[in-house]
Amino acid sequence: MPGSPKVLIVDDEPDACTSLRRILRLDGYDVDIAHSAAEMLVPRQWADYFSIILDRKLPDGTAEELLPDIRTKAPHASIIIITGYADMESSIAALREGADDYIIKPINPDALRASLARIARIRKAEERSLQAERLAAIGEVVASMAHESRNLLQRISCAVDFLELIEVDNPEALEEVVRIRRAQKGLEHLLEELREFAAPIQLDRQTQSLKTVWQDAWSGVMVMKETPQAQLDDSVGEINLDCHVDAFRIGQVFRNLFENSIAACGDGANIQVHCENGDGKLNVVVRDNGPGLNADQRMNVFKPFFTTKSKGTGLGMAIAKRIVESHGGDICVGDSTDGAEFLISLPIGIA
Amino acid sequence: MSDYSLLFVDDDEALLESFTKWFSGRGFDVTTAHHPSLALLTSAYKKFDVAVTDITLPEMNGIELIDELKKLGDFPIIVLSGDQNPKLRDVAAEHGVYRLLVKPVAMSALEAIVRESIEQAAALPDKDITN
Repeated sequence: MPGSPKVLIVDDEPDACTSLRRILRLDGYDVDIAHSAAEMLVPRQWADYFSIILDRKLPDGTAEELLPDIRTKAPHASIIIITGYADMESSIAALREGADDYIIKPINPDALRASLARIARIRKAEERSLQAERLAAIGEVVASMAHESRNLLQRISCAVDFLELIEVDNPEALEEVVRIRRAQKGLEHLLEELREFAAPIQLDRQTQSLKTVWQDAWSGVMVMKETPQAQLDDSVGEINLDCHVDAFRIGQVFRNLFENSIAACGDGANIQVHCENGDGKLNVVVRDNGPGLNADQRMNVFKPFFTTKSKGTGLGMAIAKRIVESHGGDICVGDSTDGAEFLISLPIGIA
Repeated sequence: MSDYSLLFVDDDEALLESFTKWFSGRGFDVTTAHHPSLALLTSAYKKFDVAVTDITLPEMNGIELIDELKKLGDFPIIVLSGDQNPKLRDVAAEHGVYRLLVKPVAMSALEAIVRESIEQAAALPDKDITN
């Protein structure tokens, strides 16, 4: 499967490899196998591996000997050592050499799953903290750039105000004045979005029904002028929709989704919101009847400055992702093939 | 004298020129300062009806300048800043700022707010009774 996380299993017992592969494939991993150190070290796309599961004792090498080389080749892959009880000491040595975890033979599938899930969680936390650092740095640049730009915008604004007075009897000139003002507004909007994107998010959370939040967002979108005809179908039935969220921020997420859907569908947009409760989370699906997302869009929709609209700044969905994640939730693109589909999951209780 | 006296403080001199041009043409007596020390020096011997100041200024920030200006006279102060920091709103309120405006503002809107601030200050009872 393209896009699935890749795992490399290195073990000299073919049966163990095959059964591991079966287990991991069911969990959605793409699995490669090597039966020896030599076979492992053949040229391969090391950067693609999410995890390398390495038997501590191979016929032609031990984990401790191989680890430094693997670390260099695949610095981002997590390494799990497979070990027997008697090997405990050296497994600990392997951990010191930079392995991320170890599991004991015979391999218990649940233990392996738990180990991979734990690594995925740590990986995600690391990515988030890296992202937070990056944003803080961007934030400083943005703040000073926005400040200077606003001074310049003020100069432009003054000059245009004068120009309008001078050329009051010249309709052609006044048309140009309107164009300049429009561009000015666009730039102001961009500065505002940039600031919002890079500023730290402080949440003001209260327990409230999520339905109120998205319905307010919907009304907000519908009252905007130039919004085409659109319909919201949000009959969610008898489930508890209470969530501990910042209503303004989560409203922003829904507003962005609704605006994008309406922009993509044009007149006659039909947007559905469905919810289900489970696992301490409220899972929300927002789906539309538009052209949907192509592969490129699916991959990049949450990246800053990615946009398909002629008007957008490309920050809306990136901001939406930040907001949902700052609530301890998740947002991703769904699998629907007709229309765009977004899945939002929010923790119900106080995080 | 029917002209209102107006003090503009901003380190962007091109902007000060535009402000002067706009407001002088509309019955205001305009004084500008591109440096806070110049603003204080001028205010020491001239009485203003209203001041419009930036926040990011050389050597002294706009809030400090506002505190100093308040010591020199009781007139409304409007902040016109390129800074969008939401905390600024609270700080401005604490320091008795009449209005906080984020650049860019239309000249006609700025003029309306300047006039409104002067009218409100004039309507306050017992204002400047000691002067």
